[in-house]
This record gives sequence, structure tokens and C-alpha cells, in this order.
Amino acid sequence: MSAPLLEVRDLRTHFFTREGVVRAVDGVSLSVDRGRTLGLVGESGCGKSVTALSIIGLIPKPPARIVGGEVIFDGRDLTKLSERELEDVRGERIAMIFQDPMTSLNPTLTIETQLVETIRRHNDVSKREARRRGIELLDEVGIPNPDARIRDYPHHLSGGMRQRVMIAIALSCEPDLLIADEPTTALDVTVQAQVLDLLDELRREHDMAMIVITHDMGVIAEVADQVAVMYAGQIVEQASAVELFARPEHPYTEALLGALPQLEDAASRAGRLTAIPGRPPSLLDPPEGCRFAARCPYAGEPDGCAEHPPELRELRPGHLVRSEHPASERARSREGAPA
Amino acid sequence: MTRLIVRRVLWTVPVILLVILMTFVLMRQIEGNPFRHSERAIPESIQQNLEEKYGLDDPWYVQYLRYVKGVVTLDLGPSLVLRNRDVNDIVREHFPPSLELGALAMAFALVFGIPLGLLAALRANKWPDYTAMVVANVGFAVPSFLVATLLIYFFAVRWGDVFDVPTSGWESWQSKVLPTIALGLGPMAYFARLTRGSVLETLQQDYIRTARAKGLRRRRVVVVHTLRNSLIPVVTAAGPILGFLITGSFVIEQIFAIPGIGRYYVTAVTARDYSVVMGLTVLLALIVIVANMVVDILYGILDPRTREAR
Amino acid sequence: MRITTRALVAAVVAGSFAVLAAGCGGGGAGGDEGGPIDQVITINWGTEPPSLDPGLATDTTSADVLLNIMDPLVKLGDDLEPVPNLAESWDISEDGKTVTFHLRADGRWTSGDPVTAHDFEWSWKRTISPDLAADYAYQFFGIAGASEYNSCKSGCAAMRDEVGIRALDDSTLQVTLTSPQPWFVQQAAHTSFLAVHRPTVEQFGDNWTEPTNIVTNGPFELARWDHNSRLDLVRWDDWRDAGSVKLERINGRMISEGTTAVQAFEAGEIDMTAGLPPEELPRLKDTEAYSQYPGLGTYYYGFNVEQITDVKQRRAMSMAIDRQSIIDNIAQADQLPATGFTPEGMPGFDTLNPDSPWLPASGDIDQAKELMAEVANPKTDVTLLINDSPGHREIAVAVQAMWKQLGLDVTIRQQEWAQFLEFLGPPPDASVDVYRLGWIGDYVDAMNFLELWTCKSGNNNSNYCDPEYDALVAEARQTADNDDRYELYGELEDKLLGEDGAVPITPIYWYTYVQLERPTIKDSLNVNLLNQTDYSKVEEVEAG
Repeated sequence: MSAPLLEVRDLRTHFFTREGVVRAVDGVSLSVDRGRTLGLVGESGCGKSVTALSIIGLIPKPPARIVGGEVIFDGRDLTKLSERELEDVRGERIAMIFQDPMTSLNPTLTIETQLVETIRRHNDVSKREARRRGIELLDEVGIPNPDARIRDYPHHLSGGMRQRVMIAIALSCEPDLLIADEPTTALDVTVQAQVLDLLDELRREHDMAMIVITHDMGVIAEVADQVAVMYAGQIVEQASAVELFARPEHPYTEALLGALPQLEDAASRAGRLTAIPGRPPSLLDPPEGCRFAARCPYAGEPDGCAEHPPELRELRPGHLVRSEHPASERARSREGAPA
Repeated sequence: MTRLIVRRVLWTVPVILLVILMTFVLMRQIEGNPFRHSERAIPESIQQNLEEKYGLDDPWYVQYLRYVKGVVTLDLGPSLVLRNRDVNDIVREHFPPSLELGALAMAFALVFGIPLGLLAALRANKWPDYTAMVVANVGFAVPSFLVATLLIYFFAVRWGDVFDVPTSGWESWQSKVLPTIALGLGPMAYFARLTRGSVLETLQQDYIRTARAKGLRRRRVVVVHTLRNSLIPVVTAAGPILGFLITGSFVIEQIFAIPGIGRYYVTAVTARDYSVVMGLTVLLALIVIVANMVVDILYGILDPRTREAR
Repeated sequence: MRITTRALVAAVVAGSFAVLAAGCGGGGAGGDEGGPIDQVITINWGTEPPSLDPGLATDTTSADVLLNIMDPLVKLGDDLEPVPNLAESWDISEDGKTVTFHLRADGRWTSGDPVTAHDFEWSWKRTISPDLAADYAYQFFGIAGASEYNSCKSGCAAMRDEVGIRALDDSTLQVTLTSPQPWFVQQAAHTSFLAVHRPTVEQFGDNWTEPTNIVTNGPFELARWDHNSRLDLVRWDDWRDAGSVKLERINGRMISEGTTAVQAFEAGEIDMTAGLPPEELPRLKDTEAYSQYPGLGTYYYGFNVEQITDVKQRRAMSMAIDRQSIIDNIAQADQLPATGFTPEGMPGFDTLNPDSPWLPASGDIDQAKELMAEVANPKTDVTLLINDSPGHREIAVAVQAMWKQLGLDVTIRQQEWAQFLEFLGPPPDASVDVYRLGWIGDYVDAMNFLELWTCKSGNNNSNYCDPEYDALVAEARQTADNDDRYELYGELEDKLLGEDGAVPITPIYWYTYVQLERPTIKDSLNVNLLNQTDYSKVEEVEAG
């Protein structure tokens, strides 16, 4: 196995506000292999978008700042690059698409302009050539009549179409890594599946790595090879998708999976969804110990996980957990295995 | 776009008729004798002669129709006060300087105001922002006549040896510098503040983030994506301001002895020169209408979403 | 990006400075010295002359220009006596009712035609005609048949022939008056009495005064007239006495804003300006350029005698005004405190001036209070009407304070000019108790001032009517002998402001005219009592 394409090590991004320091990303480590998809999942506010933006340096510089860690992309630490160097990386080596296609495209410029400017920024081609390439891309993402639609303005297209355009723009320079931040959240359910399929297909065709950020486990199940679960600014579990769904370890992950509405489950058929009691901690003043302790059914055991922050440790090869009470250990202790 | 223009042009007709009517009524409401300008009373017979000569002894509806006809045929009649001149002549000779002054002041305001506001927004809450906003606030608060007098004092008199600008007049290009600045400083400050606010708001938009995520150079992000979209409120404000600059420059014209329409307008009202007042009011109403139409057109160019809304 | 925006702003700012400094050193417009001695001067007319048609011109700016581009029959000398000009002599008949002017032979129009008496006859009748509707037609009403012609509705052609103006031949103009008017010859110096060039007027109609069309006959020609901007005159070398005219060219600006005009003078752009703003006077008085001339005008407050009915109250109010203080602190141009209605400088002043006891120069508040106490039913709520030109309000406030000491509650009502005139009437609006006004002489005889107060006068805004006064005026009109007439004027002044005077008005001061003049022209430049400047007498010399 070659070295991972992207390796984030203990990344810390803090927001320096008037109220205090918000530790939005507080020790995130993850990695993405070439040509593979990493799913980054967690509830709103856990810091997943900030992580993504930190990777390509798009956090708002005041008030945010990367205070620690490294982002190694293809051998270079992106946190050490100048703005100009980052501009060369963005769009060409790493592309990003965002949640809301309504607002993510400039309403006063045509699709053509927004495509062509990206292409010509990173490639030395004529306008005509760039336009031709743009039409090709639109075709590839499944937009009918691309040579007509390329002249449209964003408000002429439906939500799903717009997201396809965003994808086309992202792919236009053949990036090695695509970061998709909640790519389907703002779309109709019927369109969601189409877009996910498209993403997956394109990834395979262009041999592209992908980070898909979502709060929806269903999306993870569809597209992810690897999964990283994030809670309160930290990665709490990382494993292959198969492994994660089969044998979740972290209490939070278990709760997330439990919260998924299941058609087979009588309770959710009756209209009741299981929610996780409580709320995530404030990142302005996070707890000293395990951040999930307040909502964790297993916290408070004599290990004192509320006081001492647990480390991210490798439970099994390829399966990392940040908890004193991973599921397998809980089962063993119940079975009376030697401690 | 053509439909918009056609509709606007058609709307102009009832608006102008209303303007004529209102001006006519208002001018008759304020008392005053157009022929008496000094303390010397005018003998009765002479007053009658004058009223007969200018048709002021006709019934009001005859006079009103005469005005309407005059506007339609573009023959605005003779001036009651300047006995050897027609309103048409006055407009032809004195409108261009006002138009020029207004346009120059507008250009000044835009050329200096927008970059200033942009600079302030891009360096928000740092010293370039504070400096720019102080300049803007001063320009906004200080009345134009004070600015005018100060400019004349310093640049034309005190440092007259260094700067070759005259104290007044409107002939050489040098004489146009100080009045332009005096008139344009207020709008410039206004545009700067408006641009700053608008740019700051635009920078929060998602599509700016997208543009940056595409790796576009900062300059392109600012100019093509940010500035264009930020200009919409500026354009909206610019229309009425242009109308105001052309019509409201009386004080500046007076101070700098510029032979523009503003001076004529105010002196005509004071002197009760009905035909001049009517002619100029109609002219100025047209200017405002045109300015607003230009704004609407620009709006359509800047924001394609509004084009179809008609 | 930082570089681009900043650089843009910096570049534009730097660029503008460079542009302004482009004429570094300024050519020939530095400081107070002005340009070289080349007999070319730049003056400030002040405003745009509303009309250069002598028949229609009613304001001082138009008069200023006209008197330099046209050739009147007579001019006024230093003592305001008529001096022969285009008329080399004149005869007055025994009964004083016929004046015959004898014109010089060498008068010329710029078109080449000679100036004849026929020109004057045509021009004067034109001004009197109802068609022209001239404001100043009334100046001619002393001529037989004039007022009838002016108000004629039908048969006007015949009436026109009846008017007492006849050109007996090319150089003789005979005028028949309604009564002996000894001041008539002086009156002929007024702009209304200038001749116009008939073919030009007939050809161009209303536009005949445009610079491309106009034809004149005086020492200067109209070189350039950009309306509301510039009016330049140039010496007309074919004028009959061009040799005596020193100035080559007069460039004229039209700067109406007083402060700007002063700044233009100080920047060396103009060589003369009138109408100085009062607040600058203290500073300007000490400069070498300051020039002051007495004027033939009276600034006065008038009473509405139907509102302030008791003469004792009017006298008291008149005595309470500290005129000198107003002159020293507000008007600030060394005006003269008035001691009668007719101003000093008017011929016969010494005889007619009443030296009124009701017009103490520094006011006499004690006497005034005593007088006030004698008033049975004083009007204590007084409304003072003024117009909105600069300076009037300050004087009104001062007088308000002075009258407060008499126990009067004065409300100052400031009106815009045209509205103000409506309130004045005559007759004045009932709400007006006191009003402010000024009267400037049209021609140089006290009749011009005293006839205001006849019962029917269109300029009597005080509701004052005394048949005896009217009788005296009628008598004076018929009195040809100057001294006798001045005696009658004295009686009239007494009726107004004498010991037993009705005091329908209280004059405050007599006008002065103040100007800034470049030292090179200061000596030869003179403004006469009627605020006229004869540029044919002005010469640029080395400043001594």
C-alpha cells in the first residue's frame, strides 16, 4: 500500500472571538488513500466542515487560525504554504463542493463563465477550448443539452442540476482529491441517490480520492470506504465502512447507528425515533475529560473518563477508537474476561 | 430590455403632465409680481401692459394649456424677467455646464468612493479601514459650501502659486477641478460607505467561498465575483444622486460663479419668472426620470435575475 | 491585490496633485500685484445684466454696462451737474416746459451710421410704447402725451405722434414737458434716455442685444458676452473721442458670491470688485485696495401710520434708534447717520435738510422714554417686516432691543423678496406695523425722494396722506428756480421729519458704496453718487 494521499495529524483550528476561544477542531487526525472515499460523519456543529475548510486553508482568517497539527498532502504540509501556493492547490489538486448549490454559484455569472474561469485558471488553454471542455464536463455529470445549458444562469436550473454543475466545476481540472461537504443535504431524496451515484462513478473513472462530509449514516453506507466519526471537535472512531457498521465500538457511533430509522424496527415504524439524550458540549469551554461523557451511558465507571481525556487508540488493525469503553471491551468485561 | 424602455417612455407622459400642473398651481399659490423687482412700485398702466404682453391676464386654463403646448412643441416661451431671452436659449446655454458639473462630480464620487469603500472592506477593522471611514464621514458631514470656500481659500488663494487653479469660473479645465471636488465629496463619502457595507456582505456569501475553493486568484475573486455583485446597492443609490447632482448644484454654482441652470432656477423662483420656472422644472423632472431609467437598465445588466422579472 | 487597490487609490490621488500643480508657478496671476500695465483690466460686474436694452434695463448692473457702451446726451459731473456729452448744448424755454438739445455731428453707431436726433425720438417713443411694456416708461411721464400713449388701447398711432418728442432735424431734439422740470436735463443722463439703433432693433427684435447683433455708439464695444459668465468690453477706436480713452479692454466676470469675489481679488484674478460681504469689512478696511464712496440712497424704517397712530410713539421709536452704533457695528462701511430723508450729496442739501430732532445720531433713549410715556394708547405689539437679504436681520435685531427699552414687544418677520413686496403694497398689509426699505435716487433732484410721500404715490408704503404735503409737491414741480425749489423741499422735509413732523418714516443711514480696487487703477476709478463708473476715464498706472 502506498502512503495515503492526505494525512491530517492532530489538527487544531481555533476561533478567537470576543466571548473566548472556540476550539472547533481540537485534535483531528485522519487519512485518505488515493482513489478511496473517506466519510466524515457527525452531528451539526461537531467541526466537520471546519476540518474540511482547514485542509484547504479556507477558514476565515480572523477570527479563526490553525493553531496546531499538520495537513500532509502528497508529501507537502498545506498548513505551511503561502496563500498564493494554496491558490495553486485549490481547484487543481484538491477541489471542494458545498452543501447548498442555490447559493454556492454566483447568480450573476453564467455557468460558462464559472466553468471556464476555473479551467483557464489552472490550464493554459484558449477560451474556446475551455468552453468545449466545459460542455464535455456537463455532459459527463448528466446534464442534458449541455451546449445550450452552458449559457444559462444558475437560477435557470433546478437544485439537482446545480449540484451537478458544481461537481462538473470541481472535476474540471482533474483533482486528486474531492471534498464534498454535505453534497446531498439540500437536495430532494430522489435526487440524492442520483448525485451520490454520480459521485461514486466519477471517482472511479477519474481515480480520485474523496472526502464526503455528512451527518447522514445512510450516505456513508452508500459511498464510503473508510469512515471517521467526529464528535465535539475530535475524531472518536475511525474504521472501514464495513467494519464500522458491523462492529461499532464508540458509544456515540452505536448511538448514531441506533438512531437510524429502520424499516424493520417496530419502534420507528410506530413513529418513534430514538434520539441521543443531551446536547454536544460547548466548544468554547470543552470538558476536560471525554467530551461524550455527559451523554454516555457508560461514563462514570471507576476509570474516571470524565476527568482524563481518552486517547485515540488502535483497537484492532485499521480500527481506531477514542474511548475508555469501546463496545468490545465492554462485552469482554461483562463476560468476565481478564481485565 | 426594450420593453422596459418603451414602458418607461410611455409613463413619462402622464408624469410630465402632472409636473406641469403641480408647478403651475404652486407658482400661482405663492404670491408675487413677476414684474416688480425693486422697491419701486410699477404704475398700473405698465403692469397691465406687461400682463397683456405675456398673457398673464388670460384665464388660468388658457395659460395652463399654453404651457402644455409649449412643452410639447419644445417652445418654452420668453422669460418674464430676462426680457431679451427665451427659456429655450437659457436652457441651451446653461444646461450643459450643470450637466457637465454633475457628471464630473458623479465620476469623481464613483472613481474615488468605490475603491475607498472596497479598500476599507477588504482590510476591515484595520487601519486602512479606519482611515477610509474617517475620510468618508468627514466628507459626508461637512456641508458642500464650506468645502467649496475652504478649497478656494487654500488652493486658489493661499497656495495659488503652487496650484494653478482659479477661484471661480467654468472655462479652463483647471477651473472645473475645485467645483467637482466640492460637489462630489459628499456623494463620494456616501458611495464609500455603501460599497464597504455591500462588499462586506458579499464576502460572506457562499459563492465567494466557492470561488476561492476553485483556486481563483484573489484579484479575480474581488473584481469579478465580489465587486460586481456589491455594486447593486451602489447603482440603486447612484440614480437619484445623479439627478440631485445635476439639479441641486445651485450652491456650488453660486459660489464658483458657474453659469449653470441651478442659479437660474433659484433666481427664477425668487423673481417669479413663471416661464423659466416651468421650463426648468419640466427639464429637471425629465432628468430624474432618465436617471432612474438608466439605473434600472444598469440593474438589469448587473443582476441577471431581475431581467426576467418583468 | 493589496498592491492593486492601494496603488490605484494612491495613483489617483497622486495624479490629481500632479495635475493641480501642473501650472507650477502660475503665469501672471500671483498675489496682489496683478498683471503688467497694459490697459487691460478685469472687473467683476457682480451679476448677469438682465437686459442691455436701454428701454428694458432697470437694474444697476445693466446700467453700469450701458453707460459705457452707449453715448448719452448728457453725463453727470462731479457735482452732479449735467455735462454736455453727445448733446453739445441745450436750451430751456422761458416757461421751462420746452427743452431743446443740440447734438454733436460726430456721433456714430458701430455699424457706421451717424447718430441723429431721429434716433432719440424713435428710441424714446419706443420705450414709452405700450407694446414694449417697459418698466421704466414712467421716467418719461414728465413729457407731454407720454403717459396717455403708454396706456392707450386704441388709436395708438395717433397718440404716438402727440407725444412731445420731436427731432426737428438730424441734430436738434425738442422735448415738450407737462410742467417745468428743472431736473429734466440731469434725468436725461439716465439709461432709459439712451438711443438704440433702429435698423438693428427692427431686424433682430428681442435678440438685438446678443453680442453678434448688437450695435452701440459709446466709448466701448461689446467684445464678448457669455451669459452669466463673462461680459468683455473693448475700446471702440472709431468713437468720436476715442483718443481720450486709455483702457484697451475691460474683461468682466460675474461672480455674485461676495466671498468668492474677494478671494478672486486676493488671488489676483480681478482688479476690482464691489458688494463686499459685511463680515469681511473690518479686515478689508485696512488694505490698500479698499475704496469707499458716498451714495445717494437712504436706508429707512417706515411706519404704518394706520397701525401706529400716535405721532408721539413714532417720534419716540425714531429717537430710540442708535444709528451710529448700527453703522459702526453692523453695516460697517462708514455710512452716514441720516438726519433727514433726502441724503447728503443731493443738490440743495444744505437748504433742505431738516436736521431732524427725531433722528439723533446715537439715539436718545431717555428722551424717547419720556415721549413714550406721554402716549395714551401705545401699540406695544409691533411687527417689523424685513426681507431676506444679508444684513437686514442684524439691524432689525438691534432695533428690536432698542425698542424693547420703550416697553415695546417687537416681532421680526422676515420674508422672501417677492412676498415682502406683496406685503408692502401699497397699501401695506394690516399686519405690518413697521417695515424696512431703501430708496436709491434715479435722478439727481430731491423730488425723486420727496414725491414718494404724496397720497397717491405708488411707493408710499406708510399710509401717510397729507393734502398739504401733496400741494407743496405740486408747487415744487412747477418751480423752475433751483433755490426756490430747494426752499420748498425744505418745507417738505419739515413736514416729514421736522419739529412738528409726522414722522411716517425713520431714516437710519445714507448709503456708501465700498469696493476693492487694484492700486494701479484706484486713482482714476471713480464711482459717482448714483453708483455709476465711467470707464472711459479710467487708466492703469504704475502703483505709486
